[in-house]
Amino acid sequence: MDSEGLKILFQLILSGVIVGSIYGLIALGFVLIYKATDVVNFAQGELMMIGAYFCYYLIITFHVPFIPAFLMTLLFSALLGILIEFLILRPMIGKHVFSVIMVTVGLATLLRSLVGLFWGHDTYRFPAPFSDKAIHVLGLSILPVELATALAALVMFILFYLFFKYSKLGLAMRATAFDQKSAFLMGISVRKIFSLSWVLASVVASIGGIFLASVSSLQTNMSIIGLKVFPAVVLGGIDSVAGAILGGLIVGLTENLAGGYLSKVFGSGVKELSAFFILLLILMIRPYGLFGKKEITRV
Amino acid sequence: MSCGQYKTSYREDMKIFQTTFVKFWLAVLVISVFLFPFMAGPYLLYTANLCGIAVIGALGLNILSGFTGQISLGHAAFIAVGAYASTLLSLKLGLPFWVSLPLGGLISALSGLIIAIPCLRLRGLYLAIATFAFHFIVEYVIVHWNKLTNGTSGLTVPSPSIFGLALDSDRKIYFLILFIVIPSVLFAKNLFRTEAGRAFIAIRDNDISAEVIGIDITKYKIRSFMLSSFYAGIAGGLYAVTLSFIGPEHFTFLMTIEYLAMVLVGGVGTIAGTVFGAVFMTLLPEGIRLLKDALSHDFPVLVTRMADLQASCYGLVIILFLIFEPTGLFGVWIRVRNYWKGWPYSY
Amino acid sequence: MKSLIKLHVCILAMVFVLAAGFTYAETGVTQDTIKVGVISDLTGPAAIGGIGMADGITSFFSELNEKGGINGRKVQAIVEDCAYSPAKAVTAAKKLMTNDEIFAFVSPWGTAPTTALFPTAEKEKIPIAPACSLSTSMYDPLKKYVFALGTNYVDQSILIVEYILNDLKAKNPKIALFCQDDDWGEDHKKGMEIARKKYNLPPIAVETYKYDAVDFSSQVINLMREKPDFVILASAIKSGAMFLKEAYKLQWKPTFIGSNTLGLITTLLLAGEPGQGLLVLNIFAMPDEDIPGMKRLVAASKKYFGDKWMPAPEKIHPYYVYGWLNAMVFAEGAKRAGKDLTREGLVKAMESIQNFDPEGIMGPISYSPTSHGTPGFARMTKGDVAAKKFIPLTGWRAVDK
Repeated sequence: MDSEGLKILFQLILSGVIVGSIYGLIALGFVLIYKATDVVNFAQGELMMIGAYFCYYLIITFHVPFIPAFLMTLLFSALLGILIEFLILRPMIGKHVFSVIMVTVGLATLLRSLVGLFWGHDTYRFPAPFSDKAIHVLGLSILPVELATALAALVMFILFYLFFKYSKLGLAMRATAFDQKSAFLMGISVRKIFSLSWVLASVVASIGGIFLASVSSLQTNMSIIGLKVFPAVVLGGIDSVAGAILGGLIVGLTENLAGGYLSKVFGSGVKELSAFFILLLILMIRPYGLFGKKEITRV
Repeated sequence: MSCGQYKTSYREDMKIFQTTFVKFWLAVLVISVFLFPFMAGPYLLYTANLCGIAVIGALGLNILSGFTGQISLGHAAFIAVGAYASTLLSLKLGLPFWVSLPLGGLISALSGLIIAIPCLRLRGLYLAIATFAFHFIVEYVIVHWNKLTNGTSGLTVPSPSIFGLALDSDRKIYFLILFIVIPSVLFAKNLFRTEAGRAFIAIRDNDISAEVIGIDITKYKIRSFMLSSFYAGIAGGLYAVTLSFIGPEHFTFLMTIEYLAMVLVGGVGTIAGTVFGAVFMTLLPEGIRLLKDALSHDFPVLVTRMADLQASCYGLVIILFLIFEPTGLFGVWIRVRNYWKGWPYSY
Repeated sequence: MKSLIKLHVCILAMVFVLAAGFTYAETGVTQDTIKVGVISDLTGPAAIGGIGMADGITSFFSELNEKGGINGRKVQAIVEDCAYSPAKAVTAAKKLMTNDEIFAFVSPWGTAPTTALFPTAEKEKIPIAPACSLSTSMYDPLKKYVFALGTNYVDQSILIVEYILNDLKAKNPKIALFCQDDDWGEDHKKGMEIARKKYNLPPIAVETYKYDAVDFSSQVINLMREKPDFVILASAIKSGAMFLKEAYKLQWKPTFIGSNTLGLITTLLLAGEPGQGLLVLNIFAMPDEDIPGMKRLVAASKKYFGDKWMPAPEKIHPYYVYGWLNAMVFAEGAKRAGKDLTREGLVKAMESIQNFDPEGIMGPISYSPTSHGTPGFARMTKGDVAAKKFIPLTGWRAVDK
């Protein structure tokens, strides 16, 4: 491969990593809730969207500078997470998992239309403090906001990995996910753990939303990405933090490489399709995703 | 008023519809359903047709997900396969409707078989996502296999006719759908008295135990997928002739979600619940629409704001229903029925 | 006794005649109202456009009603949401037909939902006057009851190519196309092929995208490899803006030309510096132009919606204008059909519209019994990010026949 071809390959890989980081951040939110509560949150995309809109609202209407607005948004998301868990998920404890998933679907519709009601369905430019000038290194180009996104994903990954492995709360969450009753008997407040997982997922979603809006734009449609991220989540294993970020990266890379090399033959739909093919392939070899825990069901 | 049912033979015990109470009201229902199209306008008729199609589709989903426990997010894809298959058979091969519809169902069942095989080892969410992948694959094939499906431009569905009788009005289509819905519901209800049906339920409740006691779960999982997608295929074929036009945008993931809502809101694992759920979820947006009309009649400029309110109403109703009525509409019905059964001594 | 009976019979006969006169034979038309149905995407993926279009229509009719309406009748527009789903569009249509008894459909939004309405329109003989879609499939093949407005996508592609050849004086230009992977994109591809054959150009490189994608880097890189001089962006704002940003990042600077869907200031705002100097083929006038029709549109918007669509240059987008224009054309057709308004009459009246000038907002509109689409007029504009405007570069022109 000549140097031009090599440069294209690496640029595609780089773009894949950036997009993959966004997917990974959103996937992380799914995993956080699933890990502790066994619930698949179909409203994750909408949580992400609300975080982004709230931050936008603070910056544009109240002229709050970016960093304080960012922090206030995280606080808002945390409160929102507590509220949602208390009002909607708690009454559903013990009900059929199917029903709980459906509740999150209803929640997604509700959140999306509320945002539409308040802010309309226009597309807005997200006022992030990143310059438009690209950084050029080794013949590759990257925008400051893209670099920030990838770094944010990395930081989140490390933080949560350490959290779950070493911190007391993290261990408590894993225990709750493993066996709610035993955890309860050991003195862990299962209620608090549930709340905590929704708080964390909501906060992570907001971070993802702010970065996505910065890279792309702010619009009610952005919540659709919540569904696109499902393959990434499952690929990595729905209860694995490492799996979420890795799954996101794999999907991002696959999409870009397929788009770059296969779209001549198969048309551009091959981008999304390839992600699903990889997913099915991996599931056939490892039915619990790359890092997911094998569920041992006892009869 | 009865406080129990006294049976004198096994045969009586095994009947589907056991009491006179049930049989009577069933007869009333059947008669009103037959009289309905002569009293209703095109809008109501069309909505009723959509309800009927929804019932068939929802039954399919309930068989797979509610009774066999295989959570499927690919239902819209099976419906799409059925719709396109039966339309293409009529368009390209000139097959009459009464042949292309069941063939469309069979082709859909075949696709159910294809998706079932990789899904045998998967459970829970992983299974759901694999079916979700299938949804995307089907969508991709429809959009890009231009020569066959006309891609995004869609296909005009030839007007169906059965043995020379052209089905060109909403009312005639209503009867067509009715004559397919009734056997579908009866078949499904009867299914769960048979060995296969009980095997499905066993797989849902605990598939490992089922295997241990000798049920061939591979065979039954595949059958469940195939039966479910056959129903979906029939629903798709009927959908195509009701709308007279199909395109890839008709079979979105949102359609799958609507069917899931029908099954859940109606009552997972019950046939009557599925019927309730299908009818309810089809009528709900129309009900909200009529409410919107009542409110915004004099203020056309507010309508566009109302749309978001409509959508949020829809989401809210689903949430409230699931929180407060976990057994779904079927549970509500049972409570109402039991109240009247025991009247005036109910408490 | 006989004379009494005669008297009674006469009175009864008079009553019947008068009653017949009062109750018009045509659905949706009464002594003082005309009911029309508007089906739009108010909550779905294309909601920005759909809401804008609906508001454009209602503001036009509200203003028209205040001035007396059409031939003494006020127009009542009943708006329904279809969330871009063709099935829901048909449901909404049936409801409008039976419950609301509308006279005609005005401006149903989007190609797919409108196409789903065709069988109903044909069977019930209800005019779609006109549709809100720039797809040639609206009038090719001709459908008696369906009209459409606006320069279609095929013509837009051809016009852009002609601008490249005639105005930019490019010799044997290499052109690339970035479009959506649906029939909208197909129309543009078709137009590009026609132009390529007509002017003997090198092959056109094409990349498509899915409407809900968030990343287009592979498409940008693919097109970059082909080294085109011109890249036509026939895309939605988000994708177009991201394409521009990605190309800018990779230091690739061909000449970008957008189709009418990029003709919103939002494109410039989203793209930022990379959007400077973007050429866009516009088919309607800009909200900030000093044209009587546009001024009237903006004033009506302010009157009925307050600040919702203000500031006009930024917020009033082409779909709002499209809705306004559709309503205007319907009103013109209904006016010409006269006091005795029937559906057939409306169709004939619309077909008689020749060189109707929509107060300068777009090129002249003409229909005929054999053509239910308007001739394609458009003009090239250039984007100025700092000034937040598109500056017209050419006058209104049509495809070179």
